[in-house]
Amino acid sequence: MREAGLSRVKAFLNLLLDLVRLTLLALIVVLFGKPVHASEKRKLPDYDRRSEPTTPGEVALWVPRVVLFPVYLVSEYVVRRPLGWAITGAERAGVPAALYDFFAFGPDHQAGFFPTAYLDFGFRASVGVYTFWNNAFVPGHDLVLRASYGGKDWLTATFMERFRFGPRRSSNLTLEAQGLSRPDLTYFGLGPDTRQSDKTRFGADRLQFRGYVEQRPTTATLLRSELLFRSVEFRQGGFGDDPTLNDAIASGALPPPPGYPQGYTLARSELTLSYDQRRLKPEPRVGIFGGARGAFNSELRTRGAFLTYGAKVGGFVDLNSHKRLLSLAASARFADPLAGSEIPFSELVTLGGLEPMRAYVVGRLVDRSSAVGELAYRWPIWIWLNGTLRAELGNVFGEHLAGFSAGKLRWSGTLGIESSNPAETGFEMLLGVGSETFESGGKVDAVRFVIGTTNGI
Amino acid sequence: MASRSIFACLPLLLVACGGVQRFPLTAPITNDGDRQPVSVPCKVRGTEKDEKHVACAPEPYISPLAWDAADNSIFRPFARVWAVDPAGEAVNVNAFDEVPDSAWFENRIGAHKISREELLRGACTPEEMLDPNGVAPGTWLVDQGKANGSSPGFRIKIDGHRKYMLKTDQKSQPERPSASSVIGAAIYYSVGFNTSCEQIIYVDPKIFRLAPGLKVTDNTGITKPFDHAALTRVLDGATPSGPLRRLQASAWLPGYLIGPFRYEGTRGDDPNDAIPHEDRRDLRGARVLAAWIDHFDAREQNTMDSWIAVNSKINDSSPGYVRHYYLDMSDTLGSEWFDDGISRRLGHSYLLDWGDIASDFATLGTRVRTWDTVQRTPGMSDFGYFNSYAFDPEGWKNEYPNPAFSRASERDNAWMARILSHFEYDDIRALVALGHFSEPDQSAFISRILEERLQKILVRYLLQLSPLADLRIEGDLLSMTDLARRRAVGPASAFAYRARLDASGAAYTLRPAVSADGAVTLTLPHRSFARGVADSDTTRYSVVTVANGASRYALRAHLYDLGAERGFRLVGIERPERTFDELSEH
Repeated sequence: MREAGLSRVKAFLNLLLDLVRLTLLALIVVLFGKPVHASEKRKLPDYDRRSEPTTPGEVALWVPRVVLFPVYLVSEYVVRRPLGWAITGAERAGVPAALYDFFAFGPDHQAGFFPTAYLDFGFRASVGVYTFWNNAFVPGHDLVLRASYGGKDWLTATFMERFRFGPRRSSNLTLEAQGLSRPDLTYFGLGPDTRQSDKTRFGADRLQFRGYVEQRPTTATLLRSELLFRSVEFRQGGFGDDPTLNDAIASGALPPPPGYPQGYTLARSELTLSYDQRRLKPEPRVGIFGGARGAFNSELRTRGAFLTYGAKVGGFVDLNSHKRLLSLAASARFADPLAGSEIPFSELVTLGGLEPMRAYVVGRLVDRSSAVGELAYRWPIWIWLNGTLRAELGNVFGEHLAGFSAGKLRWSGTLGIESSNPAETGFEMLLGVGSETFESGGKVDAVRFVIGTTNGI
Repeated sequence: MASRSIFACLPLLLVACGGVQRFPLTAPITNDGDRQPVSVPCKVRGTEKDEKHVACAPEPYISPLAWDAADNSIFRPFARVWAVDPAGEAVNVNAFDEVPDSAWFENRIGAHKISREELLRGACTPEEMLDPNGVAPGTWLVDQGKANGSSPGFRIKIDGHRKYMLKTDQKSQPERPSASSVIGAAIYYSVGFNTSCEQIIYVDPKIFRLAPGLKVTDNTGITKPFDHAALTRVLDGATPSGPLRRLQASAWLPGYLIGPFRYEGTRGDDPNDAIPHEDRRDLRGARVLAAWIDHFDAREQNTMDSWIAVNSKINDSSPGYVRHYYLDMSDTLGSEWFDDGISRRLGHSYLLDWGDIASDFATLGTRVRTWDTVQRTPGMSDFGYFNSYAFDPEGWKNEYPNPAFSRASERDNAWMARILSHFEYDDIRALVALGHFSEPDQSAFISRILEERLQKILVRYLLQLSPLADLRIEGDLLSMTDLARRRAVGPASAFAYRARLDASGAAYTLRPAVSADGAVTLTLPHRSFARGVADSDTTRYSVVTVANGASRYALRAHLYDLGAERGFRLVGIERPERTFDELSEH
C-alpha cells in the first residue's frame, strides 16, 4: 500500500511537470516562432518485464526539484534554449565564419581586433578594443592600436609599430605613441606611512612617445635601450565620493606633491638588462633571475634632471618539475634628483598597480626609494592559465632607503589567475590584501580586486 | 495459529514482496522494435535539381559545432544541476541485463562468436571492398570536395552509383588517422554499433578524373573551386608508397542522410525514437568503448542518422526507419592537437574542465596530474600520448561532456566491459593489421597498448558487478561463462565459486563445475509440484545466486522450474550490488 501511495505521488508530480513543460514549449513556439516537429512516439516495451518499485528516495528528490524549479526554469528556458536557438541559427547562417573574417581579416588572418575590458575596483571600469596587424608590410613588421574608454574624461589610446628581427625574430625595435586621459588617478601622499584613508583623486592628461630596442643575446637575457618623451598635465579629478587632491591641498590635509599642478615634460633615456632562467627550454628545475635598470631623466620645463635606477635579484625552484614555481626575490628602486632638481611625484618610485606590492592600487605608495621582498608561487590550472600566490614585504622610503626599518614595512598578499603568457593581451584576475606598516599595527588597510585583459590600457 | 501461518509465509513474503522481484514467465525482449517502418509527414524540401521536391522523411539536422561544445561545456551542466535529475539506470535493458537489438545496436561479438573474416570486414559488404589494382586511369570520378573536418579529401563515384569519401593523413602523423579510422570502425562494428565501411587503399593518382565545376567550402566557410590543382594538393599530402598514395576510403552510407544524432533527448520527428538518448545503455556504455581506443572526439558531429526507406529507390520516401551510425574514429590511437598542452590532457580532462580547474586552483597545484607527467613513447611519436600506463578507465574523459557518457552507470559500463572481454589478443592484433602500418613495430606497439588498456577496463569493471555471462539452460544444467576468469583478469587462485538456489523458502547449496577457460556449470535440483500447478505459479519460481570469489558482487539468475520433463526456463538475470552473503541472508 505504501508503494502504491508513493507511486501515485510520483505520477501526480510527473503529470504536473509535464503540464509545465508543455506550457513552456508552447511559450517557446509562440515567442520564437519555430514549429516543433513533434510526432507521436511508439509505445515503449516493458524491457525487463517487471515494474520497478518507487523508492522513498525517488519521491524525496521531488522536494529539491520543486524548490529549485524556478532556477531550472530560468537556466534552461530563459538562458540555455534561447541562446542555443540563436547560436545554432547563427552557425547555420554562416555567422561564425563571417565573424571570424570580421575580427581576423586579411590574408591568413594576420590582422584583426577584439574587444577588451578591465575592472580594477576603486577605478572606473574600461572597455576597449585591441587591433593588430602582424607582418603588416614586411615579415616581422607588426602594428597595434589599442584604445580603452572608461566614461567621461577617461580615454587611452596607444599606437605601436614593431619590427622584429634577428634569430627567430627574438629582437625588436618598437615605436610607440600613447595618449592617456584619466580623472580617477589616486594620490595618498608621500612616504611609508600613508594610509588608505588618505586617498585623494586627481586627473592627468599624458602624451608619450617612445622608442626602444630589445635584444636577446641568449634566450634568458634581455637587453633593452629606450628613449622616451612624455608630457603630463594635471587637472581636477574625481571618483565617487573620494576627495580630490585639489581639495586636500586647499584644506591643508596634504601638501602639494612635487610637480603638481603645473605638470611636466620629460625626456628619458633608459637601459635595462635582465636575465631570467625561467625562459629557458627545457625549463630548469632551479635557477635565478634578475635585472638592473637605469635611466637619465630631463625635466624640460624646469631644466631639471634626475636619475631613476633599480635592481631585482631572485631565485626559483620548480617544486616537482611540473611547473610549480616557487620564487624568492628582492628588489630596490631609487629616484635621485640632480643638482637640486625636483622630481615630479608621478615619476618617483611607486609601488602598487603593476609594480611590486600588487595588493595596492596604482600609485598607492610613492617616495624616493623602495625595497620589496617577494615570495611568489605559480602553478598551472589550465592549458593557458596559471594560479598565482604572492606574499610581499616592502614599502617606499626616503632618499636611498632613508627611514628604512622593519616596523615601516607592510605586507601584501595576492591570489590570482593569469594567462600563461602574460603579454599585452594577457588575462588577469587578482584578489589582494595589503596592510598598514607593522609599527602601525599591520592591520589590513587595502583590498584590491582586478579582472580584465590588456591591463586596461 | 494465525501468527504461525504468518511466520510460515514470511520467507514467501520476503521472496515475493521484499527480497526478490519476480520476472514473468516470458522470453526476454531481444528486438527493440524501432526498425519497424513508420511513416512521417511529407514536406516540400527543395534540392539542387528540383526546388519543389517533396520528401517523406525526417528533416535533416545540421549540428551546430560551436554551440554543441559551448552547451555541453557550460550551459547544459549548469542547467541540469537545478533539474535535480540524477542518472538512474538505462531504459533499454532487457530481463537478461542486455540491450535488445535495435536501430542503434546489434549484439555481435558479445553475443556469439564471430569469424575472423567478419571481424575484419567490419561494416563492409564484399561489394564495397575496393581494389584499385588494374583499374584504368580516369575511371574513378571525383564528384565532390570534402566540406568539413581536419583531413583533406574528396568524394568519388564508381560505376555511376558506388560512392566513397577518400581522405588523406596528415604529414605530422602519417598513417595514424587512416589506420585509426579503419581499426576503430571495425571495433565499433564488432561490438555492435552501426558504422561506415572503412578501408585503406593505395592508389595511382592517375586513376581519378574530376567532374567539371566542383566547388568546396572549407572549415571557415570560404568556398573555393575544387579543381585539378586542389586535387593535386590533396594527393600530394597523402602518405606515399612508391608511386602510389595511401588513402582512407569511407563508403557512402545507405539511405537518406538526415544529419547526426544528439546525445540528449530524442529526435522529434522520428516516431521510433522514444528513449532519451542520454538514457540508452548502448550510448552510455559506448563511453567505455571510446575510452578503450581513446576516441576523445566522441561528439554528435561524429555520428550520423540515415533514413532507410522501404522503397530503396526513393530514399526519402515513407515508410522507413532511422538507422543510427557512429562515424570517424580518426582521432583514436593518439591524435594530437595544435597545442601540446591540449594533447597532454586528451582523455584525462575536458578541454574546459571546470572541476579540474577549480580543484587545481584550490589545491595550489599540489596534485600532480596525469597530463603533467604523461610522455610520448620513444620511437612512437606518431601515436602522441597514447599509452596504457596513464589510462584510467573510470576517469577517462572525451573532449567535452557527453550527456550519455556522463550518465553511464556502473551497470552500463560493466555491460560494455563484458562485450569487450570477447576481444582476444589475436583479434586485437588482426584488427590493428587493418591499419597497414608500414613499420611492424608500430603494429606491435598499438596491439600491446590496446591489450593493456583492455585489461585495465576488465579489471575495473569485471571485478565489481558479476562478470558471469552467456547464461543458458541445457537440460538441468545452468551454464555460464566467467568472463573475468576466461580473460585472466585475476590469478586462478582468486576464483572460488559459490552458488545456491532459493525456491519457495528452501535453499539448496549448489556445487559449481568450473573449467580453466571460465565455463561454469550448475546442476539444478528439481522440486515436485502438485498436478495442475500453473507454469507461472510463484511456487515454481527459483533464484540461483552465484559468485566467483574474485568479483565483489554476485549474480542472480531467475528461473521457473517446469519439472523434470520440461526442465528450467531462464527468465531473468540480475547483477545487484550485493555480495553473495548479503543475498543469501535474504
